[in-house]
Amino acid sequence: MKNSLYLLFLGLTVGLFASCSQEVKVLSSVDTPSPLVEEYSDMVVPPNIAPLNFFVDAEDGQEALVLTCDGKSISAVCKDGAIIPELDAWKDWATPDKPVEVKHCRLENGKWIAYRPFTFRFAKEEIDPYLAYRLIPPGYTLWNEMGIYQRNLENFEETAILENVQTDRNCMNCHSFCVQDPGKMMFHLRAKHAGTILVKDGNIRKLETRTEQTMSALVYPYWHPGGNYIAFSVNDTKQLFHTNHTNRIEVMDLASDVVVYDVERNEIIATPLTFGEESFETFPSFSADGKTLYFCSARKQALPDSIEALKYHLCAISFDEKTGTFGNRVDTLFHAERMDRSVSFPRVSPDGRFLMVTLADHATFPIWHQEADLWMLDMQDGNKLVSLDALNSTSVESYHSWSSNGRWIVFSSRRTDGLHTRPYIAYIGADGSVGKPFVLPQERGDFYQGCMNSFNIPELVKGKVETGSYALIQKVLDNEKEQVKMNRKINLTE
Amino acid sequence: MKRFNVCMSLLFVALAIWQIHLHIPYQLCQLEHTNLFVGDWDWFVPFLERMGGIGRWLGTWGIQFFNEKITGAAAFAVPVILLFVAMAGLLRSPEKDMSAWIPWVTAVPACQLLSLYDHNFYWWGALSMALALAGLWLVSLCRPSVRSWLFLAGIPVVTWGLGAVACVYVSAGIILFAQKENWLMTLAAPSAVYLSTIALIHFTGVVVDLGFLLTPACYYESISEMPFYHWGTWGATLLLPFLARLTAHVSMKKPMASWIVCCTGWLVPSALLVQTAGNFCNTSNQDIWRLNHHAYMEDWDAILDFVSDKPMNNYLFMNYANLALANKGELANRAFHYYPKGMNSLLTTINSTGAVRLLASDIHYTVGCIAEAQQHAFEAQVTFPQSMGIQTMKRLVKTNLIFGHHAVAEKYLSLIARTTFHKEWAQKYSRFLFNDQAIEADAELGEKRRSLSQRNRFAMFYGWTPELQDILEVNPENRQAKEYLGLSYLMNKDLKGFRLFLDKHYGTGKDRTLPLSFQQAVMALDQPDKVEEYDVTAAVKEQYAQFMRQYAQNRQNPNLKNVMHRSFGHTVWYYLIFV
Repeated sequence: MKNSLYLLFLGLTVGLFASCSQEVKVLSSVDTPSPLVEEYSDMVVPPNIAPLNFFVDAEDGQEALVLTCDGKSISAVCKDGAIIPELDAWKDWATPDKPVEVKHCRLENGKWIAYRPFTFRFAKEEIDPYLAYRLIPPGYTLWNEMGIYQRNLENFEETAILENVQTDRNCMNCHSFCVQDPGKMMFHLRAKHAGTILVKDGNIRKLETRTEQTMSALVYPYWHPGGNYIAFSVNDTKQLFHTNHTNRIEVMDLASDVVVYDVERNEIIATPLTFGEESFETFPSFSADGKTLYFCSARKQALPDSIEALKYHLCAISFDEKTGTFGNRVDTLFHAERMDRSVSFPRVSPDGRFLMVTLADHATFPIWHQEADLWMLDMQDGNKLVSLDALNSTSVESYHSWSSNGRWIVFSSRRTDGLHTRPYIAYIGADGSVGKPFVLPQERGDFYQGCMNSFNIPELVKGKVETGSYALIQKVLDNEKEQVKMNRKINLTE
Repeated sequence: MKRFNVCMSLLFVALAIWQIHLHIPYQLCQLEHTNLFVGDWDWFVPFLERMGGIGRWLGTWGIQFFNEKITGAAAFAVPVILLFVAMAGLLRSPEKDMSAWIPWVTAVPACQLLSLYDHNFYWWGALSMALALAGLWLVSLCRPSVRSWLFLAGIPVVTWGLGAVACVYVSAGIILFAQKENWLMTLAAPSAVYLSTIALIHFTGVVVDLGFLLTPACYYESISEMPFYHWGTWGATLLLPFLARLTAHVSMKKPMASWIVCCTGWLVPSALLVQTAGNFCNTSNQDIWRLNHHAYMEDWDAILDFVSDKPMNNYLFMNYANLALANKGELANRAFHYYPKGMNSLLTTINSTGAVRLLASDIHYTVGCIAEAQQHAFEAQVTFPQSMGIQTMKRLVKTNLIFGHHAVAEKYLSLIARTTFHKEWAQKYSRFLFNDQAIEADAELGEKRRSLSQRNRFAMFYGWTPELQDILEVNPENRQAKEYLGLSYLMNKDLKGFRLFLDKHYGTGKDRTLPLSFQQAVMALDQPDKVEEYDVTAAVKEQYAQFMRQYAQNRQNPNLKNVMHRSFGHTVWYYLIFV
């Protein structure tokens, strides 16, 4: 009896172990390209990323991968629609700056048959270890639960920076970090407990950013690399629905301007050149050296009837950090009407060489434009704007941000179903070469199929946001706010 | 006495179920329609990550049974019954005989039921309370040496798994188990463990709101302020054991006194429950949920039966009545039977409540404004506790199929397919995925797709009329759109627009059989050629003649409006002159 129990226990243990670590022994191969080639071959992947998700259309256990890098192999079998290597195995095995041979196998009559191998490679450069984003259903005007989260890109851990279930279900948005620094961040709150939360050097401030001179509270942010200024837009935004169009929604600004907020002085500075009534200025961003303020500008149109004529140019104006003043001239880097496209989200790489934008047919909210794509210009190469075909799909590609080393970008795409936004990561070489994008890896293969939220404003961050939830929530719930002032020395009617 | 108590218990349970069925049957339906439960592990895990998650998950599971009339009421009553049983069990402690208080236990589930009548109070809150006390009862059955440790171990489990009811669990446990000789284990330790648990949760920022941590507000819709009476259950749950323990040594020597106390205990809370229930139910909400339920089940006759008894002073009722008529193909025949008051009678002003958004989605879907139907369904869904509900999910599947957004429809269908009661529906609609031929051949989806406007515009920016006109451009056979459009002109008293509408949609070469209200409107045009052209029936002509005669006879009558209303209140003519 005792022996039987022992054997039973042994058998169960072996069986359990075997099922957990199914080794894939490739017995034969065919000279046919794998269905994964198009999506995964020649990809460049951060050496510190969590195990990639290789999506397959197969039942559990019917397909597998054998990955070999620098002489070491790991294998993984498909489950829930994807092949995802074990985290521990992946960590030990990945070698920076090395190619990976991929044998994609299918199970036939109990034997693993491999397709023709393909390769991808690990880059030398790591990606910033955290990604911050807001999770929210891809909705319109109403909301319920939402939160700003941070995901450790080196594993699958996601934690909340702030969730609105703790703050009376208000709206929180537009989180932004100063040069990917988790210690310098800000985000807005709308509806209940409205205001702007600014975290810097361990201090948490709550600001009231509405002023009499500006049409709204401060909206789209971008930190100056020095950390003492934040560029914002102010917007009067409207949302309308198409009756029959590939794009469900059109979001338009009936008016907008660009200003800069002085963090230390708690005041807004502006120039008539970005504060005009005859034009709409929005989406400001600073250059890597902080000496140039980029923004999008469009000629005022009668809206909504002339929405398709509303095209935003890419403009630049110089900015002096020491004096907090602007130049006296606006340069147009990209003339929208000539190319019949509209620019959004200008983002300069940290080395100052590349400027990435989203181009759509018209208007200013490209996430709802299926035709929106990513383009980039090389500022050392004549400022010619080039479509990033490797990144773009037939659906929307939009909001993008750079890693601190300038080698990685993360961007939003709705290519999976046209509605739910997913974050994609891609490599940008020092010469401007672009790697194939891959979706933010998840622990389960069917995660995105079941996820009803969109990943909004993905921002790479150099470390974990350590500002505790307790302190943040207390500040959010605090009704006392610092009133932001408008700098009276500026004459905005010039 | 014991048998009497058992019989009275069963009667009380029956009373509770009957009260629920009587007062809030459609609140249960609304809960089910705005809920979605998926019974697999990935769905369950996120619940564990939040305080009260176990209770919430069980609540979501239980709500899916609410749709059936009596069984739904019984399912809804489960926490009330369980609470009753748990409280009774706690008072039957082997060490102290507190069973004389058992009849008075009815006060606790009675209070809980009154709380549940408030739709802002989550059902899972009542379930959590019942489970916490049931857990306490199980602990009370153990040997004293084991009991204390189990009680302590249960504190963090109940706090995290069930939420703020842990406060009641701990307090009731202390009341029942505290002993002077063992005060450390029975009083100090539970208090310390509980306070430490709360402090940990609070100061780590997991839950900062102390109201959420420690009060019934944990189970109340956060956008509303919780009325004070929701404390009643907590108060009764603690007061009873306290009083029972205090009087445990008192025994009633006279049997008559025992019977009086016993009967009073059964009768008083039950009578209060029956008498006051109406004060705690929101009747207007119940009506709207009833109408929504009938619309969701496409039981149009039920809507019309319901509204026929109601004074038509509510635009939502008018909207539902017209929606039902439209779906029965009788809108333009009978729209004026419900005393409309302007355009809002057809389509009310949209606000941010889920109920109005659901209605707006239904109306737009009926006429074929699919973009608007989709938008409102999505917005309604966002207002639901889980931000998803089966009713809106189904609508979103249909609208996305109609638009050809198959990937999104597939996503929703894959979720619905994982539910218990709606997977057949998902299977039925899965055949339309990536199959435009099947969609176009389907009576419902095909009709809606044929009504998609070829001309894109911003929905509702210029009002509803252009939308309906666009639909009829592409699908002149869309009867609902046609009748809503014609009635829109009449509701706005735009007879010129109505005449143009008639010429366009009922003119030469087209079907000239006009519905009743359109015939009446033709008479009001005062164009005899139109009367002949559109074959207005003799009955309508006669009725119009009577109207005009009576109007002329009573012109000087200060009570003219009422006089005319008696005979002609249902007519277009009355509306055009008096409304």
